[in-house]
Order: sequence, then C-alpha cells, then structure tokens
Amino acid sequence: MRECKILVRSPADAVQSLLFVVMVVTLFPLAISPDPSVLAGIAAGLIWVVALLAALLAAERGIQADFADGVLEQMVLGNTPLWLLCLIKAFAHWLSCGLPLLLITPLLGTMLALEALEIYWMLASLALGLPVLSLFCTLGAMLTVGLDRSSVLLPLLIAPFLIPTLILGTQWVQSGGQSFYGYMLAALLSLSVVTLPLATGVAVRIAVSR
Amino acid sequence: MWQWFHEWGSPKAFYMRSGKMLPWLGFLTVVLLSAGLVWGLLLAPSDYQQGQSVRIMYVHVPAAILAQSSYVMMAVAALVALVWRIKIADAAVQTAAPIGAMMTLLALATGSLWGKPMWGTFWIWDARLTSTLILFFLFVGVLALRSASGRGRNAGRAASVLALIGLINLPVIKYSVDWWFTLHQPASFTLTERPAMPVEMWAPLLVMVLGFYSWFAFTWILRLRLEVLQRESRADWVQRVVSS
Repeated sequence: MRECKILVRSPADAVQSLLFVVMVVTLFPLAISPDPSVLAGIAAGLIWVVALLAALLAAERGIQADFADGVLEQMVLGNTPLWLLCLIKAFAHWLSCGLPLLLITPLLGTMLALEALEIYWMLASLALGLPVLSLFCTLGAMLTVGLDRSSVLLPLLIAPFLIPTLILGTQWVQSGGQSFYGYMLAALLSLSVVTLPLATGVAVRIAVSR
Repeated sequence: MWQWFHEWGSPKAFYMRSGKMLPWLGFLTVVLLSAGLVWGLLLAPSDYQQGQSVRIMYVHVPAAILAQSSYVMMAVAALVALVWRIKIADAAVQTAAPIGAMMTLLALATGSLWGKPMWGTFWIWDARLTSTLILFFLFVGVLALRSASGRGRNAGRAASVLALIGLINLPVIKYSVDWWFTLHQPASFTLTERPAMPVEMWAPLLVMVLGFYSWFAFTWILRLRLEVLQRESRADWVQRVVSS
C-alpha cells in the first residue's frame, strides 16, 4: 500500500522510464537504417534490450531513498515477513517501469515496423519476462544499496542474470510464438517469484548491517 | 571429521599449517607445469588438421576448466562463509575472485588466439565462448561488489550472496546460451566435440590440467595467507610471525 502511495505521488518516475525507452528506440533507426525490413528483424531484440536497460536504470528507485531514511531497517525489524516486503518492492518496480513499458509496446512495435501478430507475442513475452527483470533488479538494488557508485555497480552485477530471460523472450517473439518458450518463461517466472524474494531478504539484512 | 574442518577454520591454524604445505605444493606446481608445458608444447604430436597451432590447447583447455571450477570453489567458500560465518571462508571468496577472473581472461585470450588459425576468426558468438564471457562478468561482479563493500566485518557477505546466486544461475545461463546458439548455428559450421584424442595428446593435457589446479591451489593459499595476516594484523601471533 505504501509503495503505491509513493508511486502515485511521483508519476515522474514512470514517465522517465517511458521517455527513456522511446528515446532509445528512436535512436536505432537513425543509427542503423530506416528500412522496415531491417527494423522488423531487430525489433524484438531491441525492445527487449531497451526494457532491460530501463529496468536497470529504475532499479534503485525507492530503495536508495528507503535506505537513507531508515525504512529498510524498519522492514527488517517489523512483523511482516521480509520476503513479502521484498516481493512488494519488486512489484513496485514493475509498476513504475515494467507496466508503462508494456502499455507502450504497441507504439514501439509500430515504430519498428512490427506486424500486429508480432506485437502480440512481444507483449506476451514482456508480460512474462518483465516481472523476472523486476525481481532481479530489486535483488541487485538491495545488494548494492549504500555502496559507492552503486548505480554503476548494479547493472554490472545483475546483467548476466537477466540474460536467460532476454534469450527466452526474444526467441519467443522471433519464433512466432512457439509455446515451448512461453512455458520456459513461465517456469522462470515462477522460480524467480519463489526464490528471489528470499535472497533479496538476505540482502536487505546485509544492507542494514552496513 | 567436522573437528578437522573447524581446526582449519581458525586463521592462525590455517596460517601455520598451510605454511608447512606450501613449499611442497609449489614444488608440485613447478614440476607439473614444466613437465606439461615441455611435453605439450614440444614433444606431443601435432594435429594432422591443425598443425602446430593445436598446442595452444594445452594452455587453453586447462584454463577453461579451471575458470569454471574456480567459480564453483569460490561459491562453495561463499556458502560456508554465509551459513557458518567462518572468517577464513570469507577471505577465501575474496582471494579466489581475482584468480578466477584472470583464469577466465586467460581462457578467453588463448581461445581467441587459437580461433584465428583454427576457425579463421578471433571471436565468434558460439555457446561456449559466450558462456565463458558471461562467467567472466560474474567474476568481475563479485570482485566489484567485494571491493565496493569496504573492510568491515560484514563486508564480504553481499559478495558471497552474489557468488551463490551466480552459482545457482550458472546452469540456467549455460542452458539458455547453449540453446540460443543451437537455434542460430549456421548449418555449415560445426563446432562439435573434437575427435577422440590419442593418448599422446591427452596425457600431456591431463598433466597440464593437474598442473593448473596445483597452481591455482598454490596461488590461492598464498593469497589467503596474506589476507589472513592483513585481517588479523592486531593479533599477537601475527606480530610474532611478521617480526621473525
């Protein structure tokens, strides 16, 4: 509940992610080629990579401020299970970064000359994959909170773990929706939801003890 | 048996005992590595397909094997450090990370050099190279987090958590990269297993692998001893050791 209140009070964060994504997607046709066939070929991967970058950029939102204000210590000391609070933090990350991206994907797909069916699979893969990114980004943020240059450190640490999601997501779109990838993504999502909040809880305790 | 582990867990005991072991380990390393290098680089037969450039294999393959197993060793040390809070294990994670990273870099570099004469290119995005590159990033991540964490008592815990998460994710990453590659592998390009090697070629390879393991153990213990001295610098026994 608290997380939602924070989000609602500063919609600027979500807008920031959106603008970043649109800006980067705009850069690629300019840099590579405006040819629709070329763009359609790279679109799936491009949108996924941009989603990754946006998620990494947004990872520290809320968590750095919470560390500075001592909210993280309250989390550790409180009655609510720590893993639940971490899950909520990841959900907040998804709300502020993943959901806007999901909503704007049809626009991005059109900019990159994707067919309607491909956009549909893009949405499906992002719908399953973005929560996984959010979970990993929250974990990374908790591991690096309070450290020097944490904003540079975090992408370096978390990027390798995001690679399986990236591969599965892009393959799902590029293969035209073969259900195998969908099942694998769903499996990855379920595993992540169950295990990552626990690991994030451990990270919060470590962060608080700094 | 647990007692034996606990005995080694004390920094002072580790320092004293490893001090006795170290010269023997160093001797073993020198013997294995020099024998392996001479045998592999000079005496072993050259490949009928690749000629002399196959000899890079005698450095590249052990480096790659060590790169992967050193990550596992580091992650096991991380588990011990996190769960049982043994200080030596924490120091072990800290000292293993740079060695592992260099090993991975060596594997990548020698692989690159081997790739040019063998496959005509310094780099290619196949499953094994990509996985090794990701392994390098995992090592660098642990290193970076460790160095950013400073020197407190709990400084190493975040890096240990990261090493463990890396270990758990390693099969997932390898699986997805393998599979990403098999989807995109061009039909004419076969990067499958090398044909079975004759004894004259895998024997020196085995010696080199053992030599690399022995070198890794030697270097790790050496660094660990230094780290122990630094961490326990205020203890009496350290003063005695340093002043003697």
